Parts: sequence; C-alpha cells; structure tokens
Amino acid sequence: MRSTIRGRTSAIAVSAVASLALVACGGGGPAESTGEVNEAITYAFWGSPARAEKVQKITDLFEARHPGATVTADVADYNSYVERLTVRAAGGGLACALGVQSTFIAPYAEQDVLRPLDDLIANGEIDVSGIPPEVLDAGRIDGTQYMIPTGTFSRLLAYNADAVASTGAPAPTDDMTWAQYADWLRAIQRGLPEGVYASEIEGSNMFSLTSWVVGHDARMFDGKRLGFDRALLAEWFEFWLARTEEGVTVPPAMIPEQSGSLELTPLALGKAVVATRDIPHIPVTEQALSANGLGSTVASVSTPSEDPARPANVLGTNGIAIPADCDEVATAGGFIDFFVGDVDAALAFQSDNGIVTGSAAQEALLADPSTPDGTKRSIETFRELTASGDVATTTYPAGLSTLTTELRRIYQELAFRQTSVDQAVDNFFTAAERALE
Amino acid sequence: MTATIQRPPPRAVAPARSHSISRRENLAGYLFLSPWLLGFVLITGGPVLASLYLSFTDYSVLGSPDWTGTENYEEMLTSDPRFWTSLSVTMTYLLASVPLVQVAALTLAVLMNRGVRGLAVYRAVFYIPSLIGGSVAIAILWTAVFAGDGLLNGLLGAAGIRTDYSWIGTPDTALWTLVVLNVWQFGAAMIIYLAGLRQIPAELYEAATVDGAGPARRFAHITLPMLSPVIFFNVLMNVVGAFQAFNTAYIVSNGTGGPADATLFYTLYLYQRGFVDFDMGYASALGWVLLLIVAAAVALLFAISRRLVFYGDNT
Repeated sequence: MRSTIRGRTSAIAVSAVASLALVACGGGGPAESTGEVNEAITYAFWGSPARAEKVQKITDLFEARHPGATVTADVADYNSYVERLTVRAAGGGLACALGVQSTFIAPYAEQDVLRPLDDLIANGEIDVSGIPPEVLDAGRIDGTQYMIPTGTFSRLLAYNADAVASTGAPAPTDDMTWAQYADWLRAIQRGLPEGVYASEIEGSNMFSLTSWVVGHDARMFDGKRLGFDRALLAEWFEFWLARTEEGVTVPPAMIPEQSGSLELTPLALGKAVVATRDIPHIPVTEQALSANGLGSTVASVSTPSEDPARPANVLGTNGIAIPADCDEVATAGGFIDFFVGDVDAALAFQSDNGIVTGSAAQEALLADPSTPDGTKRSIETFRELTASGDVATTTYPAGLSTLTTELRRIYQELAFRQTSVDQAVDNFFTAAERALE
Repeated sequence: MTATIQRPPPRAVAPARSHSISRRENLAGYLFLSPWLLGFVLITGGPVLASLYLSFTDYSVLGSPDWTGTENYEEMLTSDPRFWTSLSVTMTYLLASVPLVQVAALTLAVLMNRGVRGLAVYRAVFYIPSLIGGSVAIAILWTAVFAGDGLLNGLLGAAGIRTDYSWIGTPDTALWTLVVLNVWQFGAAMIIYLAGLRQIPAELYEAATVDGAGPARRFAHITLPMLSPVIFFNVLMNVVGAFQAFNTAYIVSNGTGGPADATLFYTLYLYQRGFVDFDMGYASALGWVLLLIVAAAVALLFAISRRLVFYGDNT
C-alpha cells in the first residue's frame, strides 16, 4: 500500500516536473486561456485609413469594457498584409488577434501557426451562437475552428438595372441555368448601344469558376487536388469563349480592368451590364455608376446553377484568428467575442469588411438610422440568402492565390488565341498540381 | 688612401614606424567603413548567403527548408516555360529600351549643348520624368493613357483614326507601352551626357572645322569618341536597371505580368514565386540566376568597352 502511494506520488512529481519543463521550454502547445481579459494585445488587419479609424473606435470601446486590457491596431493594405503575414509567421511575430480570410487561412492552419479555437467556444469565451452555421464553417479546417468569421462576401450576379430595363429584356432571375443565362445575355446585348457589352468575362475569375463547378454538383477542391474533371473546365472555357465570340462580353483586352479597382471595372464604368460581385461590392459599384451618370441601381440575383435547387453563390469570409504562439489567449478571445457579438462594436464598425456575421450585430445595424442604405441592403440580401440556404461553402486549400493568378493568365492566353482549350485545361491542371501539392 | 663612406645602418625603427602608421591608417579606414561594412555583413551579406542555401531547398516560409539539391535550377531550365517567358520579356525590354534611351538622351543633350536660351528650364523639364517616371502614380497614369478609351486613342481619334484598341490590355503591345514609359525617363541620362559634352575641348571642334569637317563628321569623330566613357556608363547603368525593372510592370498588370504574361519581367516572376506562391527556394534560385545573368552582361559590356571606349590615355 505504502509503495503504491509512493509510486503515485513519484508519478505525480515526475508529471509535474515534466509539465513545468515543457511549459518552460515552450513545448507544451498553444497557451491556455486564463479567463482574465486584462492583457495587452495587437490586432493586425488589412484595409484603408477609414477602416483603421473604425477599428480604433472598437478598441476604445473594448478597453473601456475591460479595464487593464489594451489593443494596439496594426493595419496595412491587403497585398502588403498578406505578404507580411507569412514572413511574420516564419519569424514568430504575429499579432495575437490576427485578421485572416477563408481564401488564405489553410496553409497557416495546416502548419500549426494558428491556435484551435474550439476550447474557447466550448467554454463560452467566444460566443458564436449568433453566427449562421454555414458561415462559421468557413473558418473550419479539417473539422477544427481556426477563424471566427466577422464579415462575409458571398458572390452574386450583379447587374445595372437601368441598363437592363432600357433594353426591353426582362430582369434576370434567381433560378437561371447557365444556358438560360447565355440566352439572357444575348437578349440584352441586342438592346445595348455600341461599345456597351452585356457581360464582363468571367472565364478568368476563380470565384466564378467555383460557382460553375459547385452548380454542376462537383467539388472545387478535394483535399490537395482539384475536385472536378477536365471536361467541366473545358466546358467553362468554351462557354466564355463562345460568349466573347458572340460579342456579348467585353473584349479580352479588358480582362485586366476587371480585376483592378472596383470603381474602374467595366461594370462600374457602364461598359458592361452584368458581372459577378461580392455582396458588399454592389453598393460601391452602384455609387460609381451613379457618379458617372450611367445608372442608379445595381441589383443582384443568384449565380446561375445547373439545378436551381443547388446553390452556387460561393461564400467567403473575413475573420479573426489567434496564433499558436500567443500567450494572451483570454484577451485575444475576449476581443474576438466583442468584435463579433457586441452591438456597440458593430455600430462602430459599420460592417466595413464584409457583411457582419452576428445576428445581433446585423439587427443593430439595420435598426440604426445612421447605417448607410447600401450596408442595410447588403445585410438584408445576405440574410435572405442564408435564410433560404442559397449559399455554397467551399474550403480553400493552400495555393489558392497561385491558382487564381494562373487561371487569369491561362484564360488570357486562351482568349487571345495563344493556346487551345485542351492545352489551357492541361496547363491549369498542371498548375494546380504544383500549387496545391 | 681610400675613403670609406660608411652609411649609417638603416634604422630599424623606420619600417616598424611606417608599418605602424600604415596599420593605424588602415584601422581608421576600416572604422570609417564600419557602418557600411556592418550593414553589409549583417543586413545584406547574411540574407545573400541564406538565399544561396535556400536556392537548393524547397522552402515555403512557414515550414523548414528541405534540401533538394539542384532541383530548383533543373526545373527552371527544363520544365518551367514561365522562366523562359520572363527572360524573353526582360531581354526584349532591355534591348529595345536601352538603345532608345541613349539615342533620345544624347540627341537632346547635343541640341541643348548648342547654347539654347532658357537651358535650365529645358533641362528641368526633361529631367522631371526621370524623377517621377518610376512612381506608382505614373504607372497608373500610363494605364489610363494606353487603355481602350485612353488619351492615346483620343488623340488618334482627333487625327481621324478612330480605334478602341487597348494598347496596354493586348499582349502584342503591352510591353511596348512600358518601353515607351522607360524611354520617357531619358532625363537622367541626358543630364550626364550634357555634363560629358561640356568636358570636350572646344579646340578639337575648331581644328576639325578648319580642316573642313562637317557637323556629322565632327559628331562621329570627336563627340562620340570623347563621350564614349559617358556612353559606356549610361549604357551600363541602364542595362542593370532594365534587368531590375519591376514597379511599372507590377502596377500596370496588377502584379500578374499580364496580359497573358506579356509584361512578366524576370523580377516580377521572382516576386510571384516568392511572395504569391511562397516558394522561396525557387525564388532564391531565380535570384541567383539573375545575378549570374547580370554579371555576364556587365562582363560582356566591359569586354566590349576595351575596344570601343576612349579614355584619352589609350595607346
């Protein structure tokens, strides 16, 4: 009996020493939350000076709510932010509250740079009950929650309603197949003046391709491989080449303009009547059109799908993650919880980076008279989509940014007749093999 | 009687003292150099050596580098068509823009060297583009000038040639818009040529004129030889600059090198592999190959310069 007790005591002592040693060496995995929201953290994010001002209001509110806690904002423009993120991750210098996006989070999660957040959700430190499940899923990699979505940007078909009405053609509908969509494009092109085209070219757009694939009941990605076959990609290329051949799309030389500043895209400049846009981009496009005197309303419908019952509106999210080497987990978790769920924070942020995800925050913004009309419309559109289940969630693997660039390049080669459809398909699959490996 | 002149034995201290002074001077020299040396060794030298190592690895930044030997270099040379495209785009840009810059700069410098009134104003006007030409704002402006509904087509329309051809959005012409942008920045080279022209003795021209040499002959037999060191300097700097060209292509193509890789400069491709694909091992290999290419180009220029550049003391 005594020896058993001694044995147990020794085992406990050894475990305690080992645990201490592991903690001292930093080899014990991500830090646990202390539950005390009173530490100093940095919140890194991308965006404009205007967004930085809104974030500052949130951090002020958060610090007032949690005495002792301080949040330093660290902002950069999107491209610089993404570049810097990887370099900082390699050097161990990531901010404790880290702005991330569903399109680029995967490599960080897969390399254990990020901390799983499931324990913070389970113990209530981060309340996600107001976030729709399909939106929350966008922050999950292989079943683990690494990001709490704070804003969404589901992609829809946006069109210049005034221009469409002027052609005498009916407005597009939510239940179009791609063939019906092509018919509709031809119909409106007949009523458009010279130099104005029915559509931008979507053949080079990765998110539009994703909608096409999902709408054909296939998966965009299957782990670290493409989830669809070559024939489906060939059909996609042929679909858009045929539209350009018919003269219903902008010329291929305008493809670069499609991916530039929103205000300078063919849709915003009245050179094209319809294009896919993220919901928050629709009011911005409308403002630009209006400023140019080229239309007053940009309306939206669901992206075409081969089966109208199968949603093809691809969902993307922006959110906040916590790096694995962050020690101030409680404060970082508390900040995320505040950002997502607090009504005052939502009113301060004005849904500036995607449609705010928490239902309480959405309702507060809709009820507040100072919320811009465009923001209210975006929230209402998104609520309708989630209520009817008309959104498609896709997990984006590491290498997506490479593949996005490759698709644009390969489609341009095709559009300028520098390559054949078969060769373009081969090139894309080869590029995917390298990018996703 | 033989007088013997005994030379005093060489003082043993002299060399030691001289050696000591020399050492002290060297030490002072190194002390003055130390800020740069430290910066070079710690900030530049370390990463340069690290990139040499990384070029033999598969390194995604987030993980640790895996040694792959010469795989990156083999892939580059045997199975990466975009490497060859980027090299071809860069060489086309270099071979087109460097001579054009020299011709434009030298022509303007010769004209301005003829005692033009208001020279300082002209000099400033021509020099300004080389100050702002590499800026983001100018790259954006360039996009607007050469777009389908841009300024160039507006001018062509006013001249009766109506077109909505996008010079910058079409692969056949996109690179040439960047060549024009580079040539537009001839001001810096022009100022150097102007300074060189001022150094040529007027007596040479006077003697040639007395001997009946016309302007073309004077230019070919006096100006060009006497200016050849300056021409060599400008060509050398422009060649190295062309290999490093990045900003304008990055802005004009949104970082893609498009349309269809028409503006994929070597440095832009290197950037894409390093900071879009996060394939730092491959990007490092691209960097070292670029270094070798630039070194070879510079060596070739120096070899040519032995025959063509006149330094005044040539025998």
